[in-house]
Amino acid sequence: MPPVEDDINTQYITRKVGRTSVVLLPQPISKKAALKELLLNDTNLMKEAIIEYIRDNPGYANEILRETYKAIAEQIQGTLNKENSAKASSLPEHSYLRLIEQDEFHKNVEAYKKMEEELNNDPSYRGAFVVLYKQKVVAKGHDKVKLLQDVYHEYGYVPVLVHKVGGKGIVHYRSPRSK
Amino acid sequence: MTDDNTYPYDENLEPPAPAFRISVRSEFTHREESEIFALIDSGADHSTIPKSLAMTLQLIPHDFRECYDFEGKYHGVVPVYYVTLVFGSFSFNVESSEVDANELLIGRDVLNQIRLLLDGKNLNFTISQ
Repeated sequence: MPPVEDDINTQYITRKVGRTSVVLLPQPISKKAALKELLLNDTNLMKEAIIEYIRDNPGYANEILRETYKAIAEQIQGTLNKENSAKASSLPEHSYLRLIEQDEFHKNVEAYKKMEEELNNDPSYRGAFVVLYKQKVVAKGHDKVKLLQDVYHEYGYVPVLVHKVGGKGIVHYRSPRSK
Repeated sequence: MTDDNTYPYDENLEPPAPAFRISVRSEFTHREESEIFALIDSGADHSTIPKSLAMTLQLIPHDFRECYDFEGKYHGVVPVYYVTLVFGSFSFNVESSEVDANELLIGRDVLNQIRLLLDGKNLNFTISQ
């Protein structure tokens, strides 16, 4: 296994798992390289390393899992592309990861719609933006961009829903066109 | 582009229409795509992006909108993303809805921040502050 120490700086965490020195990084891009490396070499060791890391650093769980999905998706896609099948060539980039994210997005939308009336009737929520993460309200506020930045800072770039309570949330698009 | 912010109509459309190539980037994924076909559409409440572009930029939706077309036909919930639209000397951070279409629509969320001169006789349009 080629060394991954090139990526290390003082913020990184090095762990010894079995015979392999595993480097899991708080920054997604560098961590991706480490995960890919490990995935290609020993899947079981990767699982052990990830579980151990998440136990010790629960705050990074979502980032780590997201990068893991991505590494697995890339590996699957790479294998399919090598086979040069018609199906593989039509697979969009990161399609597997996107399916997971879209599914989580729709779950959050459904959860919001279920609680919409209740939120509308609560003066402390009416007119505010609420943040749903894993189908639960985790924050509220009046600055949408700041809310989103805060939530991404806390959970990583993961599917969340930031929606205005009582907002119309409607879009009309596209003028009529001839074919 | 004939000068800084004047662009020819796209004559591949029938009849020709104000459309041009722009760049779109995400401040969250740090990805950027250039040469994206964009149609100016004052009938669109908000700017929209094609699904394929959302995938290429690896965007994750953060909000949703209920989507209706020009006939009032309901198209369901569509995901919303933060993107930056870049053309000429302009750049706009917008919340764009994803739609099943080939082109990006520049809607009134952007158009209401600029001056737009449609010179249909000469088949060009000018964008200014």
